[in-house]
Amino acid sequence: MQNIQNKNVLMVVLDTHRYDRLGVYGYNRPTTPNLDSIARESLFFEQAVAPGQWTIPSHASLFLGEEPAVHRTLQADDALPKEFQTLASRLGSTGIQTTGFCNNPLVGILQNGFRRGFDHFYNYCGVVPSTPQKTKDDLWKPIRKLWTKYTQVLRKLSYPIQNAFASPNEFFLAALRPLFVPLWTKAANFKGMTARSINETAGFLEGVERERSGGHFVFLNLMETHMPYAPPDEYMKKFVPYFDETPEAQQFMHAFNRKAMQWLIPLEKPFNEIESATLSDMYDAEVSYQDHLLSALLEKVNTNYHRDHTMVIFLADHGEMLGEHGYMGHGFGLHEELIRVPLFIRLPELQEMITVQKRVSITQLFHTILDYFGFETLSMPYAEEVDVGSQSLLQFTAKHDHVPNYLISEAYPPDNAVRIMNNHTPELIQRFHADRIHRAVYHGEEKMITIDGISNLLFNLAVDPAEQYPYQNEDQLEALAKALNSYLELSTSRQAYSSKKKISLEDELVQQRLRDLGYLE
Amino acid sequence: MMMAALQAGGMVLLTDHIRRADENNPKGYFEYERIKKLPEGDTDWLKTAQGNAVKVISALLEYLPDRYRYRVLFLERNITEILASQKRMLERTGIKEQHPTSDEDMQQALLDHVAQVKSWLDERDWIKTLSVRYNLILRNPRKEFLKVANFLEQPLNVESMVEVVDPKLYREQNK
Repeated sequence: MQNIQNKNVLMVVLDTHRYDRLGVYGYNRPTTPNLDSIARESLFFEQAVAPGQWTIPSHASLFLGEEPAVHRTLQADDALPKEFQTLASRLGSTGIQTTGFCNNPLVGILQNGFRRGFDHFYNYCGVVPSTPQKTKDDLWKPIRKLWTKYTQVLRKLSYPIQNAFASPNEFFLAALRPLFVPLWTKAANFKGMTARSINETAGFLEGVERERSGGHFVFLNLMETHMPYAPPDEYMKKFVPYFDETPEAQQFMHAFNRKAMQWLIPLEKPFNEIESATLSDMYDAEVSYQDHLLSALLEKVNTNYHRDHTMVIFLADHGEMLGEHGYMGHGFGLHEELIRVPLFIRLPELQEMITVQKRVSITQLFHTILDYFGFETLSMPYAEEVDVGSQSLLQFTAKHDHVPNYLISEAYPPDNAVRIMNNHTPELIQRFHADRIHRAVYHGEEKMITIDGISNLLFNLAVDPAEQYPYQNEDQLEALAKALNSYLELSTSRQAYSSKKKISLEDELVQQRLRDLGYLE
Repeated sequence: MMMAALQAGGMVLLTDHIRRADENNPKGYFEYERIKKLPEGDTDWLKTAQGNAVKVISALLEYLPDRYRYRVLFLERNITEILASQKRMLERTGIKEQHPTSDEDMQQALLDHVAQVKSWLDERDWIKTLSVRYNLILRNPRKEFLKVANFLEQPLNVESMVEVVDPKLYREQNK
């Protein structure tokens, strides 16, 4: 193990961020000057892919270094398999301090094991957020103390209720009614507190610099680009300038922001031109607003200390469908808008931008971070020694590897969304094969989207980047299907070591064991 | 081990010696029985305990009254080692579990419990916490005990604390 005390990692997950809305990925609107500037000093991945289409499987892969077919944390009420050690646990076992700042309730609230191994985990979303405490002695201290007590009680009450919403049950369906949507999106901080979480992460990094303490892993998840969309006026004027004078756009957004059901399932009919433009432009405004807020963080990571000691990673866990191919949100399908994601890593020793064209998976960040901290091999449930370097993305600082590789992404249908469709629009299930597993297999410019037992669509992304024209090539399809079979066989053998578990609060088990051991009465 | 180290370093321990050293814990338990009464509101003893170290299991932390300030050394160890140690204790003492639980379920429950307690500690402004990992103490006791002394802001004798750590334990762990 190298000297970890001189090294830090900041990993920023831009939740629900499309790659094609960043200038550095070729977008022609000035949405992301701040992200573009750090990307231009980074190991820049042109073709990064998410292992799954939404938060749960994608974050599980990031935290465990395994594909969804192995960890099977696929639904909102699934918990991480206990057999696999999380990234934070592995880092913590060597003395690295692990701290999370999180805006996504699926990661920060549910009792699903995602926070396992973190020394400190701050949660900015939900009914009662838990953010860093102020400890200074001032006139407000007694009031803060009372408030803290009050929030503790509320939080204790709220956790089981919030967990209940993770299951495809009546709670969840009721919450999606337009009447209740403003309640949980605003009062319950569904999108967290982007500005505050960024500022507090920046403050934390300032402290690390001040104390020269080193040996930190910091995780930040940002949700500003997630639905519903309500960017500040300044960004509306810049990116949706016609909004104030277009009643149709206003009515559409008003209804869209309240119809949470529509965020989760494919469209019954395509958006018209105004609807489509409004939605896309509102998304751009959110992207730009978040980029602006990130300047406070970039200022901190651009100091000499952090440039020399801190690896800074920006990525998205998945993108977003805004009506393309009939899809909305990030529940279904595996098109590029959804699973191709931004990814760039600024390394202390890197002098200039290195562009990597080879397709990589964000799952590899697990190995990349461990590699950076000096891990060489890992013990996994299915193997005693797994090589870290061969999966690490740091190898691309020295290697110009253009040999095409097979890469797979999977979309398991979210139970919650299928339940909605069953109740309201059952015809959509059949039209989009929404109750089936979809898988995408990449090789070079070829991409096959296969729907379990139903169809295999082949696209050439070089000539058809929008995936509009599937074509036939039996040899290609056969080769891609063969690669998928190998992947599934390997996953099945590893899956045997991973128990599938639903969220539950089993504290009673702990209490009972402690009683048996004589530690409790 | 931490309680023994704190004592060696010069910290005054709050312990009643009711639970005596045994095969499971040859150096002693350093426990204070009244801790178990915390859920019933028995907290008077805290008045005279200021400046002392007392062992509290994680499940009882939430019953500590907030009228005092605490520095918590949160001792962490690999869950599989904890489970193995608990099983050994149960076997040696011949205690039958009231509700036998599989190792897998218990492991998950303990992991969830630790995550919840840490999150709870983060939210308390009257408690300062330092996570201390068992395997790091075995690997580099001097460095870890220095951290402890700094955190407690006590002039502890770190060299005496280091002597408490049995180097055999480190070798055994690395076999």
